[in-house]
Amino acid sequence: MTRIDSDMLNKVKEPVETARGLPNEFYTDPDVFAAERRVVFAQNWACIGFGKDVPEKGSAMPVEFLGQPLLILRDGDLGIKVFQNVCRHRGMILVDQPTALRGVIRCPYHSWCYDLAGRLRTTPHVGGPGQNLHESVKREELGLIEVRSHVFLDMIWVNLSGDAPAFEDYAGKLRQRWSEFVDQPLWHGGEMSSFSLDVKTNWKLAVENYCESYHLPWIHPGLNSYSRLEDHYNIVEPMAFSGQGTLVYNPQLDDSGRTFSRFSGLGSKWDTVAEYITLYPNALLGVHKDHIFAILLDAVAVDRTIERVEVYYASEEMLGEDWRDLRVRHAEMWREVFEEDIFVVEGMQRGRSAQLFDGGKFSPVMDNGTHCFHDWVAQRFSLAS
Amino acid sequence: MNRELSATRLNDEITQAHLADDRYRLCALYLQAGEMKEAAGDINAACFLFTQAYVYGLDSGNEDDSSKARARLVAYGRDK
Ligand code: FES
Ligand SMILES: [Fe+2]
Repeated sequence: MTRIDSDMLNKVKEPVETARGLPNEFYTDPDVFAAERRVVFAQNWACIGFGKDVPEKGSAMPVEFLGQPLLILRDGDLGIKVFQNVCRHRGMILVDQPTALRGVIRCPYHSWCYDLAGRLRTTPHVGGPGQNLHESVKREELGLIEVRSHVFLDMIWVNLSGDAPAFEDYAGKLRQRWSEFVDQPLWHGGEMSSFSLDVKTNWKLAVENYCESYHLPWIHPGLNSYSRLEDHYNIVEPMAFSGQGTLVYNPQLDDSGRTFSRFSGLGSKWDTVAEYITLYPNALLGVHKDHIFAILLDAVAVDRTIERVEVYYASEEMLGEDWRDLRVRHAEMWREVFEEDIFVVEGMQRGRSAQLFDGGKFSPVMDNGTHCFHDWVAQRFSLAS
Repeated sequence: MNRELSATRLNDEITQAHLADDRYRLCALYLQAGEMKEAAGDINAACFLFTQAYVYGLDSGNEDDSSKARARLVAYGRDK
């Protein structure tokens, strides 16, 4: 972390009028990226997947997070748990691809078996052929190593270091703001409501672009017809989240005038309001009266990000065949919007190779969400040093 | 002679089940093989086979046969 000096961090943390953005190395330098994995992702909460990835009891989904193999498991009683995807015997990877387990997790090497709660059930031949016990192999001490996790809006969050504040506190203000949504049952729209974009950019540029509405009239002229710039407002919650909202959400997906059903119990504010917020570091969320989407940013490399998009509806009925065409159109509409953003986040990434770029100058009126995010990132680094 | 024959057939079936990666069936077959060894008084060999049955049963959800295998192992102090 040699090149990250506190003067630079302080400059980022200044008020938006005088602050500069994070400098180039935060987007291009593999050393900074490595440090960031630690102070922004591991010592904090971060999103690694979705509840829908493990739909039923015994569903097991391996994921790689910060280069570490993790396993997301759904147990009948315990709900979703996350473990290190590694056998306690010789460290073999346990589950290689998404699997519907019928019983236990059996290590593919010497067949030690773990139940869905991670407990070590049996250790075949560990005391010699046909002898599965040995006094030095204490099963109760050799369960799978659990990673602290929490499910929020169907997103699975983990705290690898184990010492971040409780998730309820971490996301407390967003829970409050979106209290009418966060405990609603969500119905994932199925295959067509799930897509990924592989983008040649640092993950932070995807966050920054998501947090502001400044670019809408230029990058998303199609949205402009029903969602003009002046109908948007900034959302800034220092050290927690930022984004933007619209006052005129009014979906028209086809000529028939059909609309998806509405979440129950929403206040009238949500008749026309929709909000788009990044819960730091890597979850881009959008809530509307009739659907929610979530984008997981998987920061696979300093200059490459995979965006996983999932769309959820307000009732099971919306998953039916007669709504299929509308779901397809809906996902396509969002895909078009998100694809329109690709050239800017990739272009800003290329711009970060310009040696004399100084982090950039914020608009004190339009870039507050971006500045809020930079302030948070800088604070993570300050706390760590 | 009869026993030898059926043991051979069982071995073949085990080989086939391995090739097909049919773990549910492997559990049942290893259980049978274990019971034969147990009947012949070869407890070590039986417990080896019961262990295979137990593990493949846990893996595949063959609860009946895996709990039978486990019961034999527990009785011989080989598992718990
Ligand atoms: S490494 Fe898993 S059983 Fe040996
Ligand atoms: Fe955009």
